[in-house]
Amino acid sequence: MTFDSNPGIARLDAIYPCRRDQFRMLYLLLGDPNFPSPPVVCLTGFPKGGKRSCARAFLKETSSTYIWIDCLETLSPALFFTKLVNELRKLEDPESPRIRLNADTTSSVGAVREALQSLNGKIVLVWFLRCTKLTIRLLRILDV
Amino acid sequence: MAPGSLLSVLTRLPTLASTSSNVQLVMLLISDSLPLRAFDATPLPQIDFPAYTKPEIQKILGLHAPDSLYSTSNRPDVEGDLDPAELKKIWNGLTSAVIDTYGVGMALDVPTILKISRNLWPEIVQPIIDHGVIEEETGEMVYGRVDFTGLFALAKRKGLFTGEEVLKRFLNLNANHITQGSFYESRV
Repeated sequence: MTFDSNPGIARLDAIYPCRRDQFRMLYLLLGDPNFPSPPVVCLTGFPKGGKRSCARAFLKETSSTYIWIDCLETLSPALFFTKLVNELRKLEDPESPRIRLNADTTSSVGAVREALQSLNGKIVLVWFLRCTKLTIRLLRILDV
Repeated sequence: MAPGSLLSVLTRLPTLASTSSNVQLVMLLISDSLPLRAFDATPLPQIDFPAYTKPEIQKILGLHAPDSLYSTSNRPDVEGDLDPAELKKIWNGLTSAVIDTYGVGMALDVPTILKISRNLWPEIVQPIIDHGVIEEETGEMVYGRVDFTGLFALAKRKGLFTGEEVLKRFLNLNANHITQGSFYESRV
């Protein structure tokens, strides 16, 4: 199905007007579950420009498998990887018990690899980097 | 591994998934600006969300046009309301005036302009309500032909778009944002 003939895109266009080009790009890059996507896609723009709402609405409309991580909830690498691994485990089994990772990033990456082993298809990991003054300060501290 | 390389690690996470043939991990990074340092200035697919222009803001706000002259706290005693097309025309005029008054130089976003417009709506349409007459045959309230220029002139005379009122309204709005949280967050 092409972008213009997709009824879901028409619905998104009605709810979020003036963002058709952005939806087109998202559709081209992520829309086809069988076609490989680039490993990283960046959405940038001024605050309150609709990046987050458009991305979430697009992923919902296209029934994509996605994990949403807000940087304000995951201030440290340990928190981030704990959330990521638990969400990946939940995709396989919603009843799976939560695990807690330590601050060792190498073992966390191993845990991510392990969680990915049993999964299929395309998984979109959305990382929302909220650039508030606090975040910018934290990023400077973390030297990211 | 140093915490400083977190973002670099995250952007390389998709390569982990490539070892397994069944799964593909795609990272969608949403940010106000692109942290190029972490990517070593590698070109990445980037989707830009430019700031809305005035006609675009008006188009978006048009989706939120009120469907009545009255609010829930101010219900009329008698049936009757303006046509939806007339209501939309007034709403468009109001949002345009709000953007011209508050938006220029303040770089207001869509949710803030919507909130200001909604706050102003009851005062803007009050003269229409005041001049409504009850039609004897149907018993419904009817309203005369509405001209936004006239309404705007009345509102300006009340000081809604000039002088201290503008500043007070904006400061009140900011205070509400701080105490009640972002309006945008509540919409999402």
